[in-house]
Amino acid sequence: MKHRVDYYPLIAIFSFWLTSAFLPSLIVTRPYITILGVVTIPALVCIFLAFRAVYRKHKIGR
Amino acid sequence: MGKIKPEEKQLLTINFGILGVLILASTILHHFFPGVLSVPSHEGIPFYDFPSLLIQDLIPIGLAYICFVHSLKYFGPWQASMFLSGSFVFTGLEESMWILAGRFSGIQETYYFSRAFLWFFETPVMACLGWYFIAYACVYISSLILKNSGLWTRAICGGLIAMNIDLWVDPVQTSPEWKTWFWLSPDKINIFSIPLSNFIGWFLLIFLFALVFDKLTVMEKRYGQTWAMLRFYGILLLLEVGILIFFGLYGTIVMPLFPEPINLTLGGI
Repeated sequence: MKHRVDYYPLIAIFSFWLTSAFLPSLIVTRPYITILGVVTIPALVCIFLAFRAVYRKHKIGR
Repeated sequence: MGKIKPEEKQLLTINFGILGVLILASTILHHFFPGVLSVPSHEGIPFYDFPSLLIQDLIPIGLAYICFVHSLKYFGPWQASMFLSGSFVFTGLEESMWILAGRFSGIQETYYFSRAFLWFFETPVMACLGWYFIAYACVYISSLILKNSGLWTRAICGGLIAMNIDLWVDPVQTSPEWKTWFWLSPDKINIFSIPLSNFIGWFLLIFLFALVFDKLTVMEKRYGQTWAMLRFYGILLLLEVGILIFFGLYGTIVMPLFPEPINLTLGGI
């Protein structure tokens, strides 16, 4: 994929969310710990918007 | 952004050379002479065997690497290296300061990290690299979604994104199943059983670093790379002291206002 470097920081922060919060929460026995992840929806929305911005930037060719 | 110049290469070699020596010394001290810094025992800490420690360090190394590749493309070798080593040192020193203050000041215990292969003072290298790619990515995200906004707005947004992710990371990583770090004393105000001061710290570190890094280009043009680098580190060290004073005031003025600890919780967490 051309311009894939532009996605790298977004992949990094999403991977951090995945490997430091979501996946580890699955083995934590404390009730509701995985559901607690809903508090990070604002960050996920920002990451998604950033992905979309990079995609559109390269699709338009700017 | 062009190839690295010989004088740049020399400066960066010195920069990362000093960092490498500090990491090596800290790692040896932590693992082989734990009594010097009163390192807590790692008994009962899960995933503490040396292959697991190394594997756990590889994830942040990989994520930091891909961010560095991106920063090389857009900032060039010198600025990319300054973001990496600056954020690494800024956050690593800040964390170590709080950890050691909690251990030796006799005022109040703070926290510590339980598990890592490589160390920078008493902060795991994986945490310092984590701070680097979190800062880089969050500032990048805010520059993409708020591209017409000013520096302060983007820096605030970057800090808030990082803080938001930590609202989940901290409760998970401090759980009994992971024990990646330990909070030794609760704050008067806690969120999901994590001290509020932690989340304020997350925001401040990313926000302040974003503001300082933005000035690096101007400093480079005005003073040249060597003096710009020294000023950059100098400003970061002054900010460390500023943050220390800020939290000192927070502890002295805000905390006594709450007679009983408060925990803002969800589902009892």
